[in-house]
Amino acid sequence: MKAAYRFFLLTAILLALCSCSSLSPNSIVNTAIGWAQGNPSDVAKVQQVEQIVQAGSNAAQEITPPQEYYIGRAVAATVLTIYKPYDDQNANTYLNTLGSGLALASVLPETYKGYHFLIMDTDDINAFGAPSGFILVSRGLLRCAASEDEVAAILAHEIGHVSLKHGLKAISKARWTEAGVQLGKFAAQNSDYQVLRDLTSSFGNVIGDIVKTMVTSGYSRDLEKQADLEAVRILHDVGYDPQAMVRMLAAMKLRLKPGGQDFTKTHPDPEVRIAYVKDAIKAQTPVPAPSSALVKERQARFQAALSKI
Amino acid sequence: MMKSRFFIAACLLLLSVAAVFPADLKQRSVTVKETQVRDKPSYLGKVLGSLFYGDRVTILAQPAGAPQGWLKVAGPDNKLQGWVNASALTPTDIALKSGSETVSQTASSGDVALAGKGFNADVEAQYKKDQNLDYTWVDRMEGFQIDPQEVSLFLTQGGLTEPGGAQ
Repeated sequence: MKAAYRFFLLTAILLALCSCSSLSPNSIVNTAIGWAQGNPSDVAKVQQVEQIVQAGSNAAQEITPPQEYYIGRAVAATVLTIYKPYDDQNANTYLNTLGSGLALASVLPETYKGYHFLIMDTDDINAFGAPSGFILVSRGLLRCAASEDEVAAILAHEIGHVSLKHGLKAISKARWTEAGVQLGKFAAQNSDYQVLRDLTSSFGNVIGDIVKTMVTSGYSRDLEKQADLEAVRILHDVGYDPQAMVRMLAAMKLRLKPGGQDFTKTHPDPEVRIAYVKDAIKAQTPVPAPSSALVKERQARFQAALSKI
Repeated sequence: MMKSRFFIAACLLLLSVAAVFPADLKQRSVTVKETQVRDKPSYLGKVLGSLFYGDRVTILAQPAGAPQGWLKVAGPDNKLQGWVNASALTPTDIALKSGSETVSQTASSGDVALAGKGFNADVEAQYKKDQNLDYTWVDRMEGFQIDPQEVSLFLTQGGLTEPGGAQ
């Protein structure tokens, strides 16, 4: 009874405050529920959890997960018109197993239909994290990796792009406006063939923006840094050596060719990335070094899957 | 005295709720195709059942010490209770007409995501045709589904930590 009274009173006061504050109704009621139960920290946790999950979504408010999924599929299909898939079941299964484990440590462990990984058959040093978890990695990039920890660094960076919704952030503001209009029309009269055509045209423009950014112009330095730092955190939390990121970037630096149409063009210089990655690693608690037996185990499965890459 | 204060507070609450809230605020919607409800806040937890896109869940009291990223919920009709990863939930109500994400909708509200609205399977089919795009490998890619137990074994054998596995 006392708890119920506290709940009513606090909610009423908080709601009154709501009209002149930026607090969301959700956060207010959750806070009131927590206080009524005498446990505000748990409710704060619910809010914190949701804020973390939604942190990457600000630029993508209009896009629901199923829509993000169809965008991701189209982006992947378009990238695969540029780079052919590498049809090696063993290697692709290894990448999917490793990548699925890493994705669990991301800020977005669950996408609409999950994370999927595919190797691209090219010497170019390239990788793409398409919306909703369609991740493509080139043979050229995988050849830079000398261990499982270094493959994990590659995948964790792409998972960073996906989980922080960087692909959707590549959609221009004008495109959002255009898509918004089309989406509204579609909701109102979705049986109209012309509306479907308009919406498809809008969809094509959205895909165009994302592919252009991923393949040609690259994300901003800030977004690349975000993906790198998220990768360092993921590696640490899963127990891989975060220094593997530094080793990968150093190997890439040696292999990237001036004037190349791959990471040379779309990513900041590896030296720049190495500097802030090292700073981020210094701020972490050290990951305990694995025993020689575990190193051997990881190396054996890495070799078994990717020795022919 | 206590009763009258309670009455005033309750009235204030009801008035305010009517003015501010469009829906039940302890509710969340499942925002992925399928997610598992587990007996522990961890991907290592036993799967108690599944929830599907658009299902409404109720957030229960969160036990102390629960790890980041997990919420204790009750599924539709309170039948299924357990832990779901927060990334699979959204505060937005998803209006499904008949359980599919591709069906058309009639409702319209800022707080309701219309399932099937916008970029959907119909748009993909049209786009695929217009662009003559080959989705064969995208479909094959989606077929790369690794059993969670295999992922768990892979991590364990490599001396790695399954995220949330400490619980």
